[in-house]
Amino acid sequence: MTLIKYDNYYNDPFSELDRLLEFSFNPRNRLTRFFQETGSRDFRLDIYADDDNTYVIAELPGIQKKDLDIQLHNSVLTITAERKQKKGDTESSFRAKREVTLSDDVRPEKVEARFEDGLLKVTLPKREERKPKAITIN
Amino acid sequence: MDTQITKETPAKAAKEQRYLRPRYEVDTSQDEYFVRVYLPGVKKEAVDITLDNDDLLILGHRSSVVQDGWKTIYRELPDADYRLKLQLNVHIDGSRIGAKVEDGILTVTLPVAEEAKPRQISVN
Repeated sequence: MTLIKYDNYYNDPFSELDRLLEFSFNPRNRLTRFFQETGSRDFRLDIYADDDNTYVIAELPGIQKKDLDIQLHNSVLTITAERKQKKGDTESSFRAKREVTLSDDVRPEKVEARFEDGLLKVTLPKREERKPKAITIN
Repeated sequence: MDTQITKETPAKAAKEQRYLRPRYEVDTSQDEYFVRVYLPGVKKEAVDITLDNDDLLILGHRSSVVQDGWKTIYRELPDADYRLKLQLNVHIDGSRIGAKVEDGILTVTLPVAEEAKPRQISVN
């Protein structure tokens, strides 16, 4: 017996409306949505910056710290998540990888990563000489 | 005049609230069902689970990690909260529902109610 009676969008009128609106008017999400719907397991990420750091935030629900691999090579940040699950006789695996090109002013030795509630936050500090500086007039 | 304004505001706020439907999986054991809902960025305290007869409603409020002064460079993550409404086919024992949040996944344990369990009938 299945747990859920039937799962269609009529149960949840908001979600279908949202999906249509998002799809039509938000070009930002179009590509990621396309990949999600075609079954490819990609993950979403955001990039922010302030004067001192660049921040990369990625959604990785259900992934454990040990299954994450973060590499920085020539200002390209690569995040790889891999998970193998064993349940009885069946084994399932999940692998997702994304590469982000950042500016070349990152100090690789100072990069920090934190993982909390399925959100990965990578902090990439900028080089001293690239930070904005106030110039005093003599 | 005053009463009119107070009446209008909550209705308007509810309309503007947008939700995102999270991905979920259902798993089963002998007499329990497990619903795993993907809620990245939602803390344990921010999850709200309601069972109303056969309707299971899960709301997850996303707490923002973005701090003041951060400039957006590229965005894909939505800001909407999560909302998932499932109509259950099986009668669930509401008093024994369990839930836990781990690494952005909410696992709801739904024990099948006594009266819905299969029963062996012996012929006399």
